[in-house]
Amino acid sequence: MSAKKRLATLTDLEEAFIQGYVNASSSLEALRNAKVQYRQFHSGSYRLNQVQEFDHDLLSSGRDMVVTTEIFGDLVGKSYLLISTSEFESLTRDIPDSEMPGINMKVEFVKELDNILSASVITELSNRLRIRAFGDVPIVASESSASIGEVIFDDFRSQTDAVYVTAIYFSFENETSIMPRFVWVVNRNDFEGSDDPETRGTT
Amino acid sequence: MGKKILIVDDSLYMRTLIKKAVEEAGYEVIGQAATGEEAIEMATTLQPDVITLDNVLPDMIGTDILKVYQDRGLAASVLMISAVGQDAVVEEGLENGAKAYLVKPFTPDQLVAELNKL
Repeated sequence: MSAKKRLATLTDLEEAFIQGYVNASSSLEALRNAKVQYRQFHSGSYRLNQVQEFDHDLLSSGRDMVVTTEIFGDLVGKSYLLISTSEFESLTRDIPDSEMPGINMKVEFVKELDNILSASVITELSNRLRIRAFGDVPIVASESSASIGEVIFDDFRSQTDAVYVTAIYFSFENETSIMPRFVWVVNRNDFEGSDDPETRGTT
Repeated sequence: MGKKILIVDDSLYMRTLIKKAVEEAGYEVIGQAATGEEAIEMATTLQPDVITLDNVLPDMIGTDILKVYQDRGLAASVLMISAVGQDAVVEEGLENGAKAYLVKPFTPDQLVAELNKL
């Protein structure tokens, strides 16, 4: 049986993510009309049966809303945008209420925000790695007591036995209390690299 | 009356934003579609002058919708609007009949400027 063809090296992937995050920050700047920066606070590979241990102070609290975008095409992956209630209120402060009954335009805005941020990263992954990838329609997940590691395990258990996880938060120059977290998970087996998937991610 | 326009985007927020911008610029919004199936049906029945077409919809990819438009000989000018901006996808859209491609996020002025060029 022949080995599966790899899409790129892990180094290529990491570099593509970094530029993707730069682009996502620029998109957020344009949407918010304010200076935005990002900081990567985690990256690393995991055997899937250990990803439940993936945790971080920045992920363990204040994730009242999780917006997910599933990647399809050449790449198996998913993004998770984590937003607290106070961040949601701040990000949607200027969005008018919908005139249509049963429609929450603020939630619709956050879904579109996630769509644009995810696409900024997917565009860079596609261009740099020369792959064809798209983000599916964003989904707002209901609040759950599960840790983000448990959520990732459930989302990927039928697709792979190893994942690469990278996580950032955005920060706003004029509103320091807002720091939405953006977690990306891709199939580790699609990429060549010398790191041991059993190694915990770096923080 | 301005040109008749069909807005295709799965995002209600984005459809609302586009509708406000184009109506203020004098276009007449004659329909809004949230899926590929709706985009094909409404374009066929409403015969718009211009279509703004999102590239990723719940049931279809925008470039596949463009191919259906071409097969049916629709005369509408299509502006693709998408958060997806990779080189190959932009080229594919333009090769399949889109007149221009606008990457999100954009300002209302940028949108109207692109539409006015069609």
